[in-house]
Amino acid sequence: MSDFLLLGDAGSPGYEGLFTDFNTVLWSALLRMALAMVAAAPFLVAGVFAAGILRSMVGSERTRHILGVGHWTGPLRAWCLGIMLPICSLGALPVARELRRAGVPSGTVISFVLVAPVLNPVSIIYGLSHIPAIMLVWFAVGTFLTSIGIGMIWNWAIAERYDISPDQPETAPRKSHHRLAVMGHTAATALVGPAAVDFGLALLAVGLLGAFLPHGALQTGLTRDNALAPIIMGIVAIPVYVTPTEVMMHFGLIVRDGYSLGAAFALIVLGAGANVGVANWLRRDYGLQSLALFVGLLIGSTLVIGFTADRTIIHGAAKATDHTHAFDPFTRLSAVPSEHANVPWIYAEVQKSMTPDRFWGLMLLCLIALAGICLRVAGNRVRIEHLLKADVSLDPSARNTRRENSLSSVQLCVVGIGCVLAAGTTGLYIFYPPADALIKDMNNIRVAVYDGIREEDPIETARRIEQWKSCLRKFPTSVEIRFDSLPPETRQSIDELLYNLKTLERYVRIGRYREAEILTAHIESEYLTGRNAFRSNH
Amino acid sequence: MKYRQPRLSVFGVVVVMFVVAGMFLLGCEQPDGSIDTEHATADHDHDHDHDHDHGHFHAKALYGGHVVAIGHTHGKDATDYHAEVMPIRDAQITFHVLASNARHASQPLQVKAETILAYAAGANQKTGQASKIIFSPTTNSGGSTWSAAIPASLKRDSQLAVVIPKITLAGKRLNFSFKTPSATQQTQSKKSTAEDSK
Repeated sequence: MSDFLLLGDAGSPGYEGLFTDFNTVLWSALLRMALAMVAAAPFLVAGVFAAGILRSMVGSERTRHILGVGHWTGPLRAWCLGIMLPICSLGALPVARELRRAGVPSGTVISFVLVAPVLNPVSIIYGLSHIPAIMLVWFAVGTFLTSIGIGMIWNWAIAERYDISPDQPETAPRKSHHRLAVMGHTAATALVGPAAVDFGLALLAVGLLGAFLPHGALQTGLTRDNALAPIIMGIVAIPVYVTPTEVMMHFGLIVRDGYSLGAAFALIVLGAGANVGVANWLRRDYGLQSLALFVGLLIGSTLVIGFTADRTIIHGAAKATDHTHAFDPFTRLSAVPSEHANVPWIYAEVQKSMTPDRFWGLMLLCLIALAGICLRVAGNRVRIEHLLKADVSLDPSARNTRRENSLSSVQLCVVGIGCVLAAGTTGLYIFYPPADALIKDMNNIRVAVYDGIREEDPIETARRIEQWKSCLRKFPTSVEIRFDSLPPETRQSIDELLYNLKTLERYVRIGRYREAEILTAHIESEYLTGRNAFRSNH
Repeated sequence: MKYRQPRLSVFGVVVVMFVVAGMFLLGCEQPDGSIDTEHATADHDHDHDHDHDHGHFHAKALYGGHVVAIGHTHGKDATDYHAEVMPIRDAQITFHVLASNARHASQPLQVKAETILAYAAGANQKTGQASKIIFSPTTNSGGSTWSAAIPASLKRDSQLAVVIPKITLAGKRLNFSFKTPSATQQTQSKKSTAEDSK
């Protein structure tokens, strides 16, 4: 029982108490919600576009065929489809809606929803660069068993009784501009209506966790010798929202630092895989009893696999006295002083977390949502249903052109998997350039940093430090994805440099340029040590 | 009703998939706290912005030196760490490491290290190369008092700025900087110590 107290205190060095002031509760919640929204934006955009593609280009008949409707292999096929789409648990909701519209059994859809956010091309490639391959295989097997098992049980117990097949299946339009119209309409309307309630509930759950889960509560106790670690994480993970890349980062940290694999698995399946929005969708369509079955199966299977992992896979190095900051983003902030309790502070914090993909994802999401609202207001004046009727596709005037040949479902799958993997691999190698290119960049950036400090230019110095940090963060992955190893001295220097660049940033921010200049001597020494160690090995 | 399979444009499918996958790979930047960065060593980075006031305790000088903050921990046993920097004597820079909390006033804190690396430069100069200096524990201090010889290149400077990039206190990695007390500060400090002792 004392293990449960870990949530209450148990000596976490950063534990700030169960209760705190109103500002901290309110503004922590708002900040967590805003950050989750921004992080989800690109994945949500991908989800609504994937839903649009399914409806406009694949069509319901082909979707049903691909997902083996009427065949026991449905959940298995859904698992395969899930690992092809780069979407998060919120982005999976519009796709799930399209699958249901096509008449795919709900159990098969659940299998898809559980696997797509955690195991997809982006998370696999990202995971491979952070986690030992054997761990990733174990993780894949775990999600496979959970998602397919739940899907099959659901199909047997619930879907056959409650699922309603569409009277007249939709057919994908033949003309390209019709397809684009259907895709755009589907993507835009996927963000409004009942789906918006699901998204809102998922974000609200993140906010509630950010408001009421005490800061530091997850810093200790998630070690492998704590039998309750998967349960503690399971309780927290249900309302948590984590993106596929972030969950791989957390998984990597847990594995590397020797914390509970069961807790890691609970975070992956219950945090990244399912969320309150999915639960609300099931409640709306199938009632509370069915939802209880789903939640029971999900938590039960996750904990069984989690406990098995903790007892069978190598024992972790972390001790009960150790603590980690890996889970701090799920908890309340340590304190929000009154001068920070305002919208501009939230805006500034969100800006700090903004990356190009998040920025463009958010912009695109706003545009799509705006289009969705306009379409909703327009109502029957803008309709696409007539484009999805089978007789349209029977138009004899339509002829196959050379560039628009029909693809079989097998060809489509092969092309899809091939393209996504090729794009993923290409993107990975572009994003993580060769080590030599990074060193060349850093050689120039560091001079600009030193110049900025000498000239006492805070804006330019901060900008250059950010560039340097970005190069340093990419360096280990860049070396490892080229099947090379990073010398320990270089890794140590990178850690040291990242720490000291943070200190340097602080000195510049508060105008202590003399100290900043002195610190550059240490930074230069560490940089040269790391660079020389790398060069001598390569 | 029988209907023909929809035609699928290979070109369209390929373009859309590339765009979607490419968009996500752009977002593969490791957030703060990732494996390769801040948690990669045993010295976890617990550094965070401290523009806020926690109502920390102010340490008193125990040896008549100038007190500078090093850092603090949170929680029930919140502790403040300070360095008391002594006036330069015999071309040696000396500082004492102190800890204080709500229950205990400042007291010397043992630092478990053989040496502490630091960089120093003339505090009143606009520019100039910093020199590396190594602090060692003084004998019989139990690791709470550290001193280092001033390099020949800095002996002419009346005041030095010193940056210590790494010091581990109670398992927490910290850094701090200080300026050696100037003549005025030394006088003030002596006065205050004398008043305290009264």
